[in-house]
Amino acid sequence: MISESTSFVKGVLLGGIFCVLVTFLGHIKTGYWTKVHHHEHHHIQAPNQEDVSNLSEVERVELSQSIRVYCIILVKPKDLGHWAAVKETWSKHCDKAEFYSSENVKVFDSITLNTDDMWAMMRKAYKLAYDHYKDEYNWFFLARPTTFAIIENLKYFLLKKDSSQPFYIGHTVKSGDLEYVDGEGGIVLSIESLRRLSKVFEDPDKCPEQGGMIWKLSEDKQLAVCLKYTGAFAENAEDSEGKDVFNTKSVGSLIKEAMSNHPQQVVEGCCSDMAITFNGLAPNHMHVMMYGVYRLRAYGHDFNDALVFLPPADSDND
Amino acid sequence: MAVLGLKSSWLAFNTGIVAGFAVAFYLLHSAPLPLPPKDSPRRATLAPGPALLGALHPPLPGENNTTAAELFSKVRILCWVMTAPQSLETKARHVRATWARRCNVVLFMSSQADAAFPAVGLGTREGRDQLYWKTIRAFQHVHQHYLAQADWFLKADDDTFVAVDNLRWLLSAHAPDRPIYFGKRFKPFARQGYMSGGAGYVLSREALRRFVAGFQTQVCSHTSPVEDLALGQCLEKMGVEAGDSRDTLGRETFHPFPPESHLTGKFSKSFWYWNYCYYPIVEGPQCCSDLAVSFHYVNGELMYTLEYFAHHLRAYGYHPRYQPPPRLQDWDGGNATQLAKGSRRRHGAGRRPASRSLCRDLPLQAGRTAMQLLWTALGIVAGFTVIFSFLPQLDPKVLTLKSLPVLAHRVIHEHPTGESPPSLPPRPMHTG
Repeated sequence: MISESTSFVKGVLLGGIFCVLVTFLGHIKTGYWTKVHHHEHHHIQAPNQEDVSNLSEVERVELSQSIRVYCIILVKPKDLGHWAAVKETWSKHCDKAEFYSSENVKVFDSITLNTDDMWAMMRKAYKLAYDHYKDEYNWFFLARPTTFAIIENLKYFLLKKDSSQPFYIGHTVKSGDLEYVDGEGGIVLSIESLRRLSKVFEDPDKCPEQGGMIWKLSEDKQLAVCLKYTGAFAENAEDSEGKDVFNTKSVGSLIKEAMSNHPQQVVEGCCSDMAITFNGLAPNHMHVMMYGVYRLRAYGHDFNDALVFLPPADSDND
Repeated sequence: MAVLGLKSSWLAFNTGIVAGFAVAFYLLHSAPLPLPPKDSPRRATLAPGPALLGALHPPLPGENNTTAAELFSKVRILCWVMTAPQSLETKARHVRATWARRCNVVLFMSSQADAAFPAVGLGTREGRDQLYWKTIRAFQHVHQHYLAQADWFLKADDDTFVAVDNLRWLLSAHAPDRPIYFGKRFKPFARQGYMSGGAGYVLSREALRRFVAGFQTQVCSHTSPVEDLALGQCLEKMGVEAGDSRDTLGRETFHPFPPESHLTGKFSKSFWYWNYCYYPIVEGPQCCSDLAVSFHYVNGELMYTLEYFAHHLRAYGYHPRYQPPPRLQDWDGGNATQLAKGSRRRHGAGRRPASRSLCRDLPLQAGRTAMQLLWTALGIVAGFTVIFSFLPQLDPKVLTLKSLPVLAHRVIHEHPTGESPPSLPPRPMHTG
């Protein structure tokens, strides 16, 4: 009987030790399951709360005024409805916003480019913007008329980034070897990138006017190719939780996707709280977004933000 | 004693291994494993009946929600949502996943009870002609079971979006023992007007008492199935005031249509709406307060979109044009404070009855226990496999501390059967 109980005890000890070994080996192998999908492109992140909460009032005002964004919106006459909506809504929050049109339109002021090829329009618009405004603005944001942008969130994102560095930021896509910023989500260039771009425009081998060799590349890919020659590479923008801040889809589409992909965590899993752009919005939806972003809020929730932005003059929908 | 022809000490030894393995496994894994984020709803259930308790949401990064927290405890709102068995999973679930969580108490009212959702069964039939019956029964149920748990009682549809924090701001200017109710005010058919059902309306505690009393004394009865009008007429009879729910700039807060209709729609001049609104209609951006309380005809996608707009998406650093003044000090909080204390005594809960400990995820806990049992069972199976494939002949008597290194060496370098490896062939003998 005694020998059996001794045997039992020895067995318990051996079993326990074996279990501990197996458990630790198991943890090393399986690791933690996470949702991070593996990109291979560059990621660039928004500043953390800790980075910005130690600024004084004076520093905050100075900081807010030091980030100057010039908005380029490329339009064509067929986009008149969206053009009007952009004019009445988010573009009022750019330090300056100008519409670069393929042809002159009577209803609205615009800078006429006299071409309706998107790459040619983009080249001309960037060239003109650089020539006229290189000393006045340090960031250049290019958008389509179907895009809605929250410029304040863009400025927050750019808070700690030096515009004399070659930044080329947006929602990036990898196409073979080329990583480019998807024009649908908006394209952000620092003044340095724009300077280099202006230079490379003069080189027809690296950056041809007709765009593409045998087949035509889309204008956003073409831009990436030209910028790559100058040493400016596309970077994907994310918030502190890793969510994209430049979106190529509308809020509605993203919510719909979230409802079918993770129905128990729709809003939490969908979109960033500090989103900068959405795309594919109808003109009416832009007015609703204006209300949703700048006005509708839950009372009693206050934020201690590092930047200060006041509502623009002559506006009543924000 | 030989069991199944095996040596008893060997059996005891191997049973010991299994037992040791199982116990160690359970101990190691009873601390929660880093499980993948589970997609289970955060629900809390509390007696009596199928009420869900709301909770103050944890603040977003950089957010200070002291004011919202103060209002959560001082302006307690019970929300009941008019729904139906066939709409629970198509409409009411989106309400449950969004704004319903921000009420102090929320009840889903259906003709039939549903313990899982959970929904209260009102014992009526379904259909548009039953709306007033359901409303009467719902308010009677709330009056009977929850009167002391809230100061204000909101009715909404399962396609109404409510910004509950904004409702608290609106109501904080009024004492709940005053007979008053708020909503989107319509003017016809009642002298003081009545509140649109779809846009939601909210009764003070005194108003609820009077509504129920009206039916008890038969001053009020089921006059018509048009729930909002009939209710408005009953409240008027019982001396309940129809309040002005507009913000301090005179902009509407309760809305009978979705935001797009109010912000961008142009209602045709012959549309009934023009003749119904008590206050002048404003089209365009000034239609709606920044602190809007409700919108109606909101489908699932829009419900989450509005939740995202109101509680998540914002323009960093932006200083809005409208700076709403705090309204909490406008009324004498003496009565309310006393009542609040009374309810705390009765329930014995902390200052915030919907504390996080109550929000324990019951389905998640069950899932975790099942996972642990599964691991233990696997552990036992693994233990058996190990024993019977690698240590079949190990004699427990041989296993002492001194012999361990030798045994280890033997196990690593020798056959599992414990025999020594086949010996090397003898060196060929060289001759000469």
